[in-house]
Amino acid sequence: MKEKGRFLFLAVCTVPALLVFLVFFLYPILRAFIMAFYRWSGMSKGTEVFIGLDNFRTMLRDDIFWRSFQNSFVVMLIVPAITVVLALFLAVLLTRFKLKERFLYRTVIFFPNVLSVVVTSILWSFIYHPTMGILKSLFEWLGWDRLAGIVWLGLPETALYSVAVTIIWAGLGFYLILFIAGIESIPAQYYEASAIDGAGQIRQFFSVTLPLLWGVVRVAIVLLLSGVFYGSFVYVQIMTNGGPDWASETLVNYLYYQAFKNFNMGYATAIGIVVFLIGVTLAFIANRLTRKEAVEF
Amino acid sequence: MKRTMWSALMLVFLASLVLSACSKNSNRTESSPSASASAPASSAAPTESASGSTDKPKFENMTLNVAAFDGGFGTAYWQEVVKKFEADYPGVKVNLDTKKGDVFRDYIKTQFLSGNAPDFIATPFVETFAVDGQLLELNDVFDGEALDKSGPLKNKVLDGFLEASMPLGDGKILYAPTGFNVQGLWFNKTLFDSKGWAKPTTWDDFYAMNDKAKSVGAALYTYQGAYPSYNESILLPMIASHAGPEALKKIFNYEEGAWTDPKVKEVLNVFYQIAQKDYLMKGTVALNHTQAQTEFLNGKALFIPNGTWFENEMKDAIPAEGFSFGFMAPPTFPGEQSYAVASNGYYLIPKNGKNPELAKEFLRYQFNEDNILLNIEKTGELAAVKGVVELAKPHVSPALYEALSVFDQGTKPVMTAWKVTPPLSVNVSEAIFNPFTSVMNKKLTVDEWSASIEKSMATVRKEIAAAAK
Repeated sequence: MKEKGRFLFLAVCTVPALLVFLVFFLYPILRAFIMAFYRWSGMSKGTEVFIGLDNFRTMLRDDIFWRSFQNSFVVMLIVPAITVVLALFLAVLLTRFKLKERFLYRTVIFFPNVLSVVVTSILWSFIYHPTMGILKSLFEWLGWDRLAGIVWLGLPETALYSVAVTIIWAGLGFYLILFIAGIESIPAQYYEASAIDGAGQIRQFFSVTLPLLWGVVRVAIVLLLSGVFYGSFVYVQIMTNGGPDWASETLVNYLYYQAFKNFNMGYATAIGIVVFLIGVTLAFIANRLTRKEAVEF
Repeated sequence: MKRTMWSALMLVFLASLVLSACSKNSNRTESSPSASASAPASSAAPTESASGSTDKPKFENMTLNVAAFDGGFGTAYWQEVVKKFEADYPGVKVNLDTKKGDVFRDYIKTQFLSGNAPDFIATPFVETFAVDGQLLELNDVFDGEALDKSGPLKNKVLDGFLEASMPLGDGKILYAPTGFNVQGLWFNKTLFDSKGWAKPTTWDDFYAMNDKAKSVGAALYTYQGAYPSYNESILLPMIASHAGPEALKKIFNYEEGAWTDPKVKEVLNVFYQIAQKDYLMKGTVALNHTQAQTEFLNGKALFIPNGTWFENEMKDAIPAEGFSFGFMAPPTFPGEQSYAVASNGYYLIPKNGKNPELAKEFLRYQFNEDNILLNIEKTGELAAVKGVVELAKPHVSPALYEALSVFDQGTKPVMTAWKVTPPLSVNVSEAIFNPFTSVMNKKLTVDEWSASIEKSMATVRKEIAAAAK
């Protein structure tokens, strides 16, 4: 009797959440997997036609899909790499070198994190603005006319990287704080001991800071990988709209474009499956990376 | 035992809370099956009697659900006309639903998806409703009598607009045109007048203006950067003018070789020249539409393509001095017929609406002269009917009047009439205008551009053929 009551109580607590999960999470995912095998505009009821694997065949010979695929990985490679290296460098600078203004720097670098992504994107599209952008003025002031003449968001060679810079700028502060906290929790005697052994700042970084911080760095890489894969969407959408000529389109943007601009929901969900598989792979990598701590102290 | 009861009750309560959110609309469809099922059978009768005698058909105790887009023209007209309709048709109640921007698009979409489509929709977006078979055929409305004049309603509509309202190409009118726009090139009239410059009528005249542009520190041309398809309002008229309306028709039907036609390539070459000879404002490709339009207003470029909504769209950014809007149809090659793109918004009647006959009556009602005038007065939006430009003259700005009356001065209208397709992986407009950006970046020649479009159109044809099976 008592067991039964307990069971009911637990059911009351979990069933509503489970229902919400099933209806709003699991069902749409399953539905998406099914729709990938249909030709459907996504606009009207009862117009879907089963076409087997045709959407996936289309994908194989769709140049724009492959370009977005490539762009997604370029962004996923450079943004985490540069963010981690830069954040590590700045974190060491702000902790190991007793700078007077370190509070100011910390605040300034963290500041972009409180801005909404949309605000950041619009802000940077004006920084890159080809006639009145601050970047252009800066290069002109420095006398670097060739750089001042570059239309950063308008050239296929620079558009994607310009967006990546914005993503790095927006995310850097968070990882900086993460690393600063990590470094400050490393016991001071390790640094003292290594200093007595004659290690300079660089040696200390590679022999003390990095090994002891490795756990935190791994978490940062995991967060960055999945964050950038999905999060680049808004930046690209606002700053370049995927242009020029698809040069900065990413997979998630292409999915959105096929679903809501080109009204091909079937194809979009097929792309969605690819995105899903990449996401699962990233989660798997994340799981592997965070399984074990590096060095205990 | 008591506790079990409570827990069970609690569970039911919570579950109902969760589920009730999904079921809100389900009770609304009760009365509909009979109405919609009998609609096709009974549809002929009231129309017959309406055209046979002048009596208004009776609509007793009926409710009309109207959804209208709250865009640049606002909703003032809809608020008024709905009241007027209710007064003229006693026993009819109209539910008006207006929403802005993408919210409206999502709303309409979910209404269609859930089988609760409104009876009447006023919108600039037709999405894929025609090819999905969601729209009611309107031929009987336009073949039938107008409400305030003798003669069929179609006689009122501007030439060419009904032909462009048959998206399936099978003679069925599925869209009712309204909201008449003209697209072309805009310039600073104040500047042109003060310098004594004339509008360029040929492309050579246009290129020659580059020196004049330089003298005032401007580039010759700019466009809406990240949205290169605005150039459609130059490209399509030029194709009609230089390669002929037949060539344009081939393009609208995705025919093989339509883009490798030498005449069409000569048209593409105009844009190539603009890029190669640096007539384009530097940095154009990186700007979005408002940024580019602001640059134009600030005198950084002499010409920009846009539609007649331009003035209203940018009203907060117009310089206080030294600027006024001037409009011209795109230039032509020497001695050729000038064309400009005419476009429009739409009234749609969903097939599965609950009161299709009442919706059709409401549609006829929109074409009454007093309602057309009401719309002009309240919003400045012009219905696509003959004589509307003169009717609107006292109510619109001089620049707008100049633009709208372009077809009275020898220019012919081009209607965009892309053949409707099943869902494709290629978007036709993107296939033309994404490479356009590369041309502007001097990365693509005319031959490469035309080959790239042909390749995309081959995919379009292939996917249409696959869908037809």
